Amino acid sequence: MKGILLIGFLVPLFAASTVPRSIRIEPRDRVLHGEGAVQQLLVIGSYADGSDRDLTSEATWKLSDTDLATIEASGKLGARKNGLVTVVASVAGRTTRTSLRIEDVEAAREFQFSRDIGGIFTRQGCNGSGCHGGVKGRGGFKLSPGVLNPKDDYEWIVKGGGYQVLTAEVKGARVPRIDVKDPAKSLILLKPTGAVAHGGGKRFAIGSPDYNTILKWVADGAPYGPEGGRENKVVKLEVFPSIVTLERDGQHRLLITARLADGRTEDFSDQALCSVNDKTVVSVSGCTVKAGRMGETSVLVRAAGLAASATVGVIGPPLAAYPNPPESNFIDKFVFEKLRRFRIPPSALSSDEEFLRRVCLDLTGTLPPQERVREFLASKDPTKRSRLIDVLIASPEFVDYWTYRFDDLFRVGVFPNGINIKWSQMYADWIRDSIASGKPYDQMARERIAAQGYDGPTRHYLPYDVIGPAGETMAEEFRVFFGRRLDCAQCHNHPYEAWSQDQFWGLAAFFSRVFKMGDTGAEYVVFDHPTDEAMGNGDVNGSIKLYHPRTKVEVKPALLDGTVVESTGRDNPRKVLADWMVSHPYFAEAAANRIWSYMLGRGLVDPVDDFRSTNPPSHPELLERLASEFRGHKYDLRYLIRTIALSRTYQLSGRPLDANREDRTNYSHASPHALDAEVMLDAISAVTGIPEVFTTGISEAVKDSGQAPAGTRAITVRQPDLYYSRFLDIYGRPNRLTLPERNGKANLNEALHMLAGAAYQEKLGAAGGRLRKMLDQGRSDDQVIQEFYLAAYARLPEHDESEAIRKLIASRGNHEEALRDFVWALLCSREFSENH
Amino acid sequence: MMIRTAMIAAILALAPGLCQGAAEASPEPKITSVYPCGAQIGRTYEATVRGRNLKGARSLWFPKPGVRARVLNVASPDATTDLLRVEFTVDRAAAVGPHTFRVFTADGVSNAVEFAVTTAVPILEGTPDQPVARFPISIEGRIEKPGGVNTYPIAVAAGQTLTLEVHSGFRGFDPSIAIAEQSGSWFDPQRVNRVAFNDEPLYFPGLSTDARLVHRFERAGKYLVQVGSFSGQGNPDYVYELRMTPGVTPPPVLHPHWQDLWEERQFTRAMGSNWIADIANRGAGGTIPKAAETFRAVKEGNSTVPVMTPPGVVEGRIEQPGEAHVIQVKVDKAQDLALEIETPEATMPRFNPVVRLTESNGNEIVTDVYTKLNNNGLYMMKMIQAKTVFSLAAPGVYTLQIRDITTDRGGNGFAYRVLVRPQIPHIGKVTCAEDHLNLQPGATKTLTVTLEREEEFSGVVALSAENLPAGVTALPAMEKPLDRPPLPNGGRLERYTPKPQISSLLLIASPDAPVSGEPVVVRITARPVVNGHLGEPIPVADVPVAVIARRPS
Repeated sequence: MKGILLIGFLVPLFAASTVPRSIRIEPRDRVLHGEGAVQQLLVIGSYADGSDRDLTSEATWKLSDTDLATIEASGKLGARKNGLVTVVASVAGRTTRTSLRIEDVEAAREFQFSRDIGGIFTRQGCNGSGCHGGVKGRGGFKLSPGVLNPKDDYEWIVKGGGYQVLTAEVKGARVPRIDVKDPAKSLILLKPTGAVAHGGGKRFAIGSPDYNTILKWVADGAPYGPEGGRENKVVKLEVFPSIVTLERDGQHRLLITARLADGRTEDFSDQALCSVNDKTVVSVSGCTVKAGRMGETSVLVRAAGLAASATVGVIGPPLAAYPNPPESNFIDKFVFEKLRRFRIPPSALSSDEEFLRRVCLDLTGTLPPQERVREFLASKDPTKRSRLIDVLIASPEFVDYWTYRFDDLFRVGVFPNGINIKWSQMYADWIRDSIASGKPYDQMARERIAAQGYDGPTRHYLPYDVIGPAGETMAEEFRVFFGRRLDCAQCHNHPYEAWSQDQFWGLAAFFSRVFKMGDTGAEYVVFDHPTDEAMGNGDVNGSIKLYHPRTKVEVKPALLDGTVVESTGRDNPRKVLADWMVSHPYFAEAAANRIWSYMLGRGLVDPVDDFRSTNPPSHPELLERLASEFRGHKYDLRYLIRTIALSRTYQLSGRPLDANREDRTNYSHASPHALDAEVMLDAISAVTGIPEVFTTGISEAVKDSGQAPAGTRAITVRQPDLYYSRFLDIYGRPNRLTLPERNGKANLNEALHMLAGAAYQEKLGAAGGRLRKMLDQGRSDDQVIQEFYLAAYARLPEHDESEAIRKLIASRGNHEEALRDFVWALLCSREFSENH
Repeated sequence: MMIRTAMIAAILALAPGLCQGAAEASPEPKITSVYPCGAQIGRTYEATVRGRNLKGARSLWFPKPGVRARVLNVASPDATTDLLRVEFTVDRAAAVGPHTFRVFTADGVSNAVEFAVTTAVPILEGTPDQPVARFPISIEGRIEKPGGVNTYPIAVAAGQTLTLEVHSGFRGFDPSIAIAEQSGSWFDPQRVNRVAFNDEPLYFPGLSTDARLVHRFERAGKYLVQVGSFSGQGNPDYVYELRMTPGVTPPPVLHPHWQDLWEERQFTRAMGSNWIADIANRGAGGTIPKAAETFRAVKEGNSTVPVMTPPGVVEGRIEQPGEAHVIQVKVDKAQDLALEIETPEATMPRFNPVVRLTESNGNEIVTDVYTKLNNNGLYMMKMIQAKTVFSLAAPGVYTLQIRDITTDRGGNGFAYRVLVRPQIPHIGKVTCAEDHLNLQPGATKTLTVTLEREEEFSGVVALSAENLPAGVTALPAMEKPLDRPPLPNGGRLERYTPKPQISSLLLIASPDAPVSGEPVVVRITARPVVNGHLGEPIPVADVPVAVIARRPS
């Protein structure tokens, strides 16, 4: 029966087709503007297996009117006259056509330093982070990465001088890097052509197009072009296609399109620098990617100070049959679509046992009790999974667990919250109340970011009982709520991202007025210092104004896009910031990604707080949709968690297939991930039936201090720095002095603790524990084995497992010790210590 | 090397003896708690006082009338604990509220322990067998061990509201209270789920950490009231009284608890109609300044701003978040002024009034925000103060602005009273460091008195100790120098802090001083002397003093 069902789910998949089902030209409906406008065209073939391939190199081209344009064999179209030109491409006996409008060819193309000169630096790698675009520049010559700050670049070239990281002062004499009188003697040409020693080697030849462009620019007097607002800036880079699948020997050209401030588009395919994260998967030449080994990587595209990326996958051989699993919700559509495109089959649906254990741990951090396991496995209700999800989400354990999750993320602790247990408890209570009452996540964020006064969320502004530095505070809010790391930009423009130092300090300025009232360490009230009132100090400016560390100029609070938020004197600028943050697309996508990561073990962007162009999401459309759904449901965390849990993707088996075993990023099967230290300790306590005792001493020797009430679970211990636990420390409980990062990697200490630690040794046969009770009740070995399997693994043992264990127990002289060893072995197994 | 080793050995050998000797030299009685810690009016009951050195206890000593006690016996369960069994009798006339008592033994009078005299409600000790269904009720309990939680089942009707209060009977015990129900969960049918919780209404220095929880029960049924210790400590001294009262009892006033008889630098002191006269009386009399007139400020931005002249009290209420009130202050000559702020309802940390006096060009002349740098000079510390003194160099019309320090707080309780008055040199707070004294014949002990000179009070201060036990005399002693100079980054300290001064009174028991039959309350007073004129006595402290039998040396 199962076989028939399985066959029903399988659909025949065509063997790798050599003949396209259809072909098309990309891009379509494009308008070329101005003198010398060009557009690279691609011919894309669509095949029966659903894949697309770049057939440009095989295409022949024709134009409807060669007076209007020219076209090269490579597919590069050049504008000659205004009008509508039709392009016809032929491949393998098929033809396709598209029309492009040409406008304003009589309009001379306005020179722009950033585009025309800066573009060369980008394309030649001069302003990359490994060269002059690095933090310190190179050889005293600094360029902004990817022409992020063209005005600065212009100054360094035209006026000369050495760059310094920490100050805006120019190092050394200002000797121009151009020679207007004798342009060919310009350093900016002598170095890259190798005419004088150049650490970066020869970048282009004398007489090459790039050389000539720079030479002409210098000869023309090195103009900058339109200034400031008149500059038609590139506001966005787009890559086509954003996801590329390559056969083992395939290649694909990427089209790079710049969107300009006036709404026009321009082909930047020749002006962008493309680089690849994993060169073993694909190599890149210009912006053409060529397949290497099977796998997936991202290609980063930089131009005009912006970055974009494409995901490129080298796919395996075609499968004889590809499963067609049903979709539970939109998540599956996106995940399965990509799996199909990458020819990775999804694993089967998880067994009830797998699902039950997984969903209980993910939603409540709690192992299902054995009677519930039996009940669930016995149930024939086709809706039992969704019903269970609803039960779990409504359970008090759900509140415990997600409170713990946010305790971690929001850093509840004695030291992080003013070195005051009461304050950390106030903060913790605010989190718990928020989770328990289903407070929308945007409201939680608002309350935390804009917190004033003497209540729970204000306490996170008092690490070590001082107001944290504005830069650090901002970077944390940004990382928590936007999933992005701006920290690098504190000292210099971010080397890999389009984050500038100005942006960093502009955002930091929202926190520069955060003050605490109080001087005894016990009564701090958080407030925003007015800008126009001294409030007791003569030099109010020195206290609340923020100065750019390089330029020493006062920084006003400014949003990412540079919008300055002027103070009205007495106000809380963080309210403006909070409103802006929660309405920004980053907010919902970061939250959705974080929750996804908690449940699937890996973020769509991973690590979850490292969104950047060089670390693009594995499923951008899915992330966008999850974020959109989250927004649409008023930032309801329960809705998001439920939606993910209901998807078939979440419910796929952790048993990999041969064809998806290597997949780490596409969710073709559940990937096991280590239980968090707290969840693990609770699980051990639950299986052994011996609760953990948490004391407030700084070591186990101090037993006569405070103690958490009997039965307190590790996930409900709110302050990790108050309640000592050797187990939790060894298994990676973070102290929350900084944003917690749990890597779940095993270490030697864990191995030693398994052998000798109290959590493993003292609980096994302890009085009142599960094993002791069963022995006292005279239970058979089979019963003991079954009950512990259910308690630890949420499943019954396989027949051969039972047999082997029975034999092992029988072979030991000391029966009770043998059973203890059996329980110990269960607790030490990966099946127990991982969620799978 | 040998010598050095021997010396260390000798020191180590000697050390325990020294310590023991020191401990034996002071076998003063010390008490830590009494159980039960609630005393019901009109009731006689047995109680246990925990402490040390209670053997030979003669009596319990109550400073307030209405409560008596009879010593029954003393037991010593271990080397460091004595249990004194006593019989308490609470008269019907006893005042409801906090009382204290001390134990008097042959070795003197002990420290004080507080207990509460309560109205006539049923009292239970220990955990009742059946759910409590009749309210009000008081339950006496204690958290015996670390991690302990005492659970009391109750039965309530749908819609019933209860006020639950836990009053700690031990200084170090910070109780918490929760309502729970055994509603179970999918994981554990027996799971006890928390319905409501409170630690204390507001955690802030000076406020009680007693727990209070008001809860309306939507559903009828059985619930569990849980009493624990906030951070999980517990020992037999952790005694408490749990009161369960139907309805909502008056909430506690969230004003800091005053330790001393006189406070003029607290936002919550009441500046009544005689306030200026009260202050003047602490400065050896002379001409009493006129009483303050009352004014009302208007919202900032109002086209018409009223004018006040000192002395005057500005009264108002910050109704809306971000609201600021202004009034003009007309001063007809250069003078030294004081700015005093009272928050009669909500106070710190809920309402944190910022008061600023500015010139017409907006320059700030003075504010109640005391600003200084921290010790390493890195952080600006700001603290609002209930009193600020300053000098106005010129006559003119100034603007007084009043607001909350935050931009998002305000409301009904945000009432203020700001007094602007001429400075009146006077004695401020006067305190005595000693809680009690036990003197052996022929011995001396010191009473340390700290007084604060307010508003440049420069007169002499006479100290006296009255009602000394027979054979005991008091002599003035040289004052101690101040320990620490002001910090270099201390900001404009003179505006916000009085000048402290420490003096001593030496109590001398003559060699033939008779042993006290019971403690004697010695009253310490201070009297300002200005220009040869002796002012009214200012009570400082009542200190129980006992002459005890000489111990063999």
